[in-house]
Amino acid sequence: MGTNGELALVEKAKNGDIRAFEDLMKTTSGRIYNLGYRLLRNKEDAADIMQETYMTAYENLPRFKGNSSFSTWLYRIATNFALMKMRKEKGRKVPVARLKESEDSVREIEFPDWSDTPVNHLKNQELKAILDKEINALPPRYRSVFVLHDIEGFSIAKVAEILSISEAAVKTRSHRSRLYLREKLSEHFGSGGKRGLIPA
Amino acid sequence: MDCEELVSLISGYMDDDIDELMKNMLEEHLRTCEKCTALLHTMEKTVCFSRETNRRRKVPEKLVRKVYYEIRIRYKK
Repeated sequence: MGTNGELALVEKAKNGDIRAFEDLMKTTSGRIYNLGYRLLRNKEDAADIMQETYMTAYENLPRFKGNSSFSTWLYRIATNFALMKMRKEKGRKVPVARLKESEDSVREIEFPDWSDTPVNHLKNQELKAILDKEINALPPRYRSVFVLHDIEGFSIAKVAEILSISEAAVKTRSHRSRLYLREKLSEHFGSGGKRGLIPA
Repeated sequence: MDCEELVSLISGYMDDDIDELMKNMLEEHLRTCEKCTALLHTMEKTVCFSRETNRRRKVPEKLVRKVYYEIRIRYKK
């Protein structure tokens, strides 16, 4: 749907047209649900995020001024709910200092190039499990950047807008998250972890 | 450009978010440094695997209907 079509529906919804709001939901619910799933990594939380996002959006429609697109506004609401849930999560979280360590240590190590690993390796549930576990272990403000930028595919500027942070902060968090996850996959693919050395 | 500088620019390079001069210097370094080439390739593959293992899921129709229903009963005038 074009921006004009979206804005026309927003205007109708602001005037109490629930069907117009349902049309907006139809075009955005797939992305909002997937964003919730990718950030929280389970169906129940993704469903909660979606419900809370649309209820909040409907209630706050009069406050939507159109400074960003309606969908960006929705992503912001959804991400804020997801961040609140993430902060209450139990389980292992990588300390930010450890992410900085990944950034520093990569300068000093040698590692094998496992990038030619065939895509059918993805059938390996172990790989998925490692990535799920490690993405889940990223601190919320890093995980949200990694998911929005590298999985959802939003630009740095758009991620900064959704999270209301600077582009510089997005770049730093994205860079550290990528280095950390790369290091974890390197450990999986062989002796390429933090201490791994290319055999002579 | 040395390896340390390359590491600090590598994400910007992947995002096509560094200026042309830096990009040329970085590519020049990559031509002669196996370690940094491996780093770039494995970084790209990390992002690629993360996308592949997080494919889009279909939003459950039942959930969409539930949210419609909630909004209708709560806000219908």
